[in-house]
Amino acid sequence: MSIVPFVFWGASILSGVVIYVSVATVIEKSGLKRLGATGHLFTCDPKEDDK
Amino acid sequence: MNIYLIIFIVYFGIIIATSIAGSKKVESMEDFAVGGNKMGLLLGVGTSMATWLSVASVMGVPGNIYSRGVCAITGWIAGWFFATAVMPMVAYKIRRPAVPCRTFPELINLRYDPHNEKSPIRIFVAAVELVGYFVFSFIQIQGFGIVLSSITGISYNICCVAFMIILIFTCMGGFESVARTDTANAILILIGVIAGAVTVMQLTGGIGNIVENFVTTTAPAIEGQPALEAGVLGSSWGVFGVSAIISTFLSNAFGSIVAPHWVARFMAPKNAKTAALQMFCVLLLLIPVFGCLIIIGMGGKMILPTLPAGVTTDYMFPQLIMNYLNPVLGALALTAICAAAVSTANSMLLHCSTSLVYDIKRVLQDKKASAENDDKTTKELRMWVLLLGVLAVLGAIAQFSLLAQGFTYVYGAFGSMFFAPILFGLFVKRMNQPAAWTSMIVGLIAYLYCTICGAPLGLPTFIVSAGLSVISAIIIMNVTKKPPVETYEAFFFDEVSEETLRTIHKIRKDI
Repeated sequence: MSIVPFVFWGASILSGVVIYVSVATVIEKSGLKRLGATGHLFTCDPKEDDK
Repeated sequence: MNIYLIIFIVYFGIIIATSIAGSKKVESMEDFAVGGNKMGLLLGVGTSMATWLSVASVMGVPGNIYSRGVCAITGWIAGWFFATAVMPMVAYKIRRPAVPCRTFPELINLRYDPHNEKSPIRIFVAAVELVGYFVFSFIQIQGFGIVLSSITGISYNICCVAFMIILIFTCMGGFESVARTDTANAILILIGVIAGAVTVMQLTGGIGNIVENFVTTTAPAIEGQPALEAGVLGSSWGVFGVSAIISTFLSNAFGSIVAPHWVARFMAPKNAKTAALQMFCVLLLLIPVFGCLIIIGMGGKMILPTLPAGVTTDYMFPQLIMNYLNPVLGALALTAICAAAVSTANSMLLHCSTSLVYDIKRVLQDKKASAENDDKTTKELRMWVLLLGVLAVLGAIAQFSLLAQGFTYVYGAFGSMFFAPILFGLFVKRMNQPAAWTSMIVGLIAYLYCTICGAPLGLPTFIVSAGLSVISAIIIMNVTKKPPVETYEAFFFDEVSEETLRTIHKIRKDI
């Protein structure tokens, strides 16, 4: 069975990882709690992190 | 009592209890429309995931793989996953403003016509949204009624009315209620498709047997059709060819990103990072769901090599449920289909109501902002949800034949019209009102022409219409005046001027 469709699917998922990390990095660099900057790429609640 | 009915009654109970809990949170018009722009990650993931999983995906994906082979993974699944992959970028931009918009037409108003309180572009977009989403709601009710009545034997009309009751319960509570029931539905869909996939694996003897059968079978999908060429279902491009599959991938990927209900999903979270992260989580959570749907589609070919004449391949999964699944697992899988229909239709109905009341009536009335007027608008929003729900179900009972194809038409038209206004509006400062109008009109006309007369050179309709819309936007924005800074400042900068802030509050009619 061809693996081409699965390669396309995998590439789409991988591009999602790259895009999310780029967006989260921009938010973290801004340091703005209003935008959800927490100091971590995969969290989004600044108040929680401040505790 | 029939096991299907027992599980459905339990399902109805869960949905109604969840809706009531969600509706108690509504205190203002903003709460009703977008959950007060304070939605957390868990609800965001639940509602976004359930919105992705419509009847078209839960029934359509296994049916597509069953009839077209693994190439459907490239055209449809990879296309949708790519759309979800890009969404964090769009979500971040939409939720970036400190004072976010509440609806998609309001965003268009701010981006393209900020100094006009009775903006024609806002009203036009709201009217398009109203018509499109009403058709969506109607199709979901009709599709659900047909599937449920054919499986349980309950009359079609009763199924439609039952669906309407669930829909109205979820929508009357506003966005929070829709988000909560969506989250419950997302969990049910996951359980249902896992139940379906596990049963298929048991019936076929495992993945090795499924693959072996899939790459050698010559059985046609529907009785009376010619036999398939051996191996075609396992080939990279199936019967379509490279060009058609890549075009389908592009249409599904770029058409989905700009659907207005997604724009609304990106406004609701409490901050921009939550909006982006929710879509990333959805991307990961959809992997097991679609993995199960692929197993059901491929395994279905072994269990049910050919479907009887007179049905479409979309009914392959329901046929499996009826004929082969253990009744309890079958009822769970059927509940997943029901949950998929509810989770898509409820947000569509809510969009119809907000477009009509918030973006058309409230804008045209031109009343002064006050707490009293906001309360009145919230009541009207609830009333119109009820009225539109009743109208949609009456249409479904009267069996107006809009057919499932209507789904594709509405998505295609939305994608062709809104691709340039949304993506250029968020990423190109130069994008202005004349370019937005031109791209929407060109996109709509090109889409209608290609749908009725056929696209030139055999190209896919969406590629032609969205392509022409984008080209026209690029030309017009470059030959007309630059837009004023208030139109784009909030989407491009972290801090905005007093003038921009005043403009946003004016458009929102904040008290």
